[in-house]
Amino acid sequence: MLGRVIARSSRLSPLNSRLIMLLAAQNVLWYLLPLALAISLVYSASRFELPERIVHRATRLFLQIVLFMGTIFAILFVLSDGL
Amino acid sequence: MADPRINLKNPKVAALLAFLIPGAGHWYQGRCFKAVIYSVCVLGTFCWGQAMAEWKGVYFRWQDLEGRDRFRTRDRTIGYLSQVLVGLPSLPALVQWRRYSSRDVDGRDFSQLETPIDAPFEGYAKHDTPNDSWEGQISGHLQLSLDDTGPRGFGPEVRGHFRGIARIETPGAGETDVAKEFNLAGPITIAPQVLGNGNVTTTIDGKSRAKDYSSSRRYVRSRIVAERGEFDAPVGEIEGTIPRAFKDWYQVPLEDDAVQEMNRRLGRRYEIALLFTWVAGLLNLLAIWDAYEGPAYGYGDEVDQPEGQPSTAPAATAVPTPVATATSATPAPSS
Repeated sequence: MLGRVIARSSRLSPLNSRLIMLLAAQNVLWYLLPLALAISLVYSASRFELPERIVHRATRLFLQIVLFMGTIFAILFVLSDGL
Repeated sequence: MADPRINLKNPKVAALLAFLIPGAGHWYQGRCFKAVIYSVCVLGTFCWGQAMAEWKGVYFRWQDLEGRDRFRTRDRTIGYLSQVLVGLPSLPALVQWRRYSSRDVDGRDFSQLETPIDAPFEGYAKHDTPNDSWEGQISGHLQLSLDDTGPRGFGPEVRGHFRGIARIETPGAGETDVAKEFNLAGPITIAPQVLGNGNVTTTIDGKSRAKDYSSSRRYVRSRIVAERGEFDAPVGEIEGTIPRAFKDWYQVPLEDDAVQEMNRRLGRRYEIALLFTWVAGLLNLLAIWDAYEGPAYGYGDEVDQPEGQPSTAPAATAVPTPVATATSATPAPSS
């Protein structure tokens, strides 16, 4: 409902306004990015010894985590359309 | 079995150091790159979580309260079992739990003066005698102590003294600062010395306001008395706060209402903050194991094999296996 109000007042489409509203209201989710980075680095460091390998694997793991979370977020966002 | 190129020194000492200070075990082993990673990531995550929770996200409480038929998670901080893995930064919670629970089962008693008080005071006072009637903000020095015998043999009594400045509003002249000094006696209300976060709302000023909580301030309320013949007669009241030392609130278990207040004020940030401290502890578990056993998958220069097959040593130092030799020696089938 709040999304519709924002859309009406700012002439944005309901989907766009809901996305903006979600990004603003759910800003605590941004805290998960540094958390994911720390998890990736520590997990990779506990697997290997070579610094290059650790950094390479940590980067890959971080991207996988972010991609996974982003996918879940997108699915839930689409499914919640109209609620 | 760790790679022979990694010198684990004494793994038990390294693991203990890694537990106490994240990264210290690896520093002891000379694995500085990993020491920096573990130290920055684990301590950074833990401290960030603590800062987000206003340094009240880590505490230990483990008790079964009699008369309660339902288990409450606040009575047993299971999350601390993860936080404690960060080591020294979270260990004070165990000491604070012992200090906190040494008084009574609920950990709070607002009528006992545990130790004499000699501290700066900020608050509000009401004074009402026929020739001196005023009320207003006061700030000054407060002294309170327990008189075991009682001044007139009526048993133990808290007595004290206030000296400071009162800001009194007078009609026509506005607010004026007046030096005041008076005696205090009788029943007092005072927040315990060791308390995580307590209600410090002033109520005698007659203003209706939302409850105010603080960990660094300690609530005090006492009667102002004046000598009337042989006895002390109550002529007013003071209410306010005195400072609480960092060691008396840091990592001390929070009361129910304090937890609710934190959740109400910080909302989801409080939950995320707790998550950070939990994850930091679990991450340090990986670091401890790495200090004890070495990296789980190997040194890192092994050649990756297809799925399902173990990695082999690097190509430059790999020794050909008999199978590989036989395979390479087999002539290609002619078509």
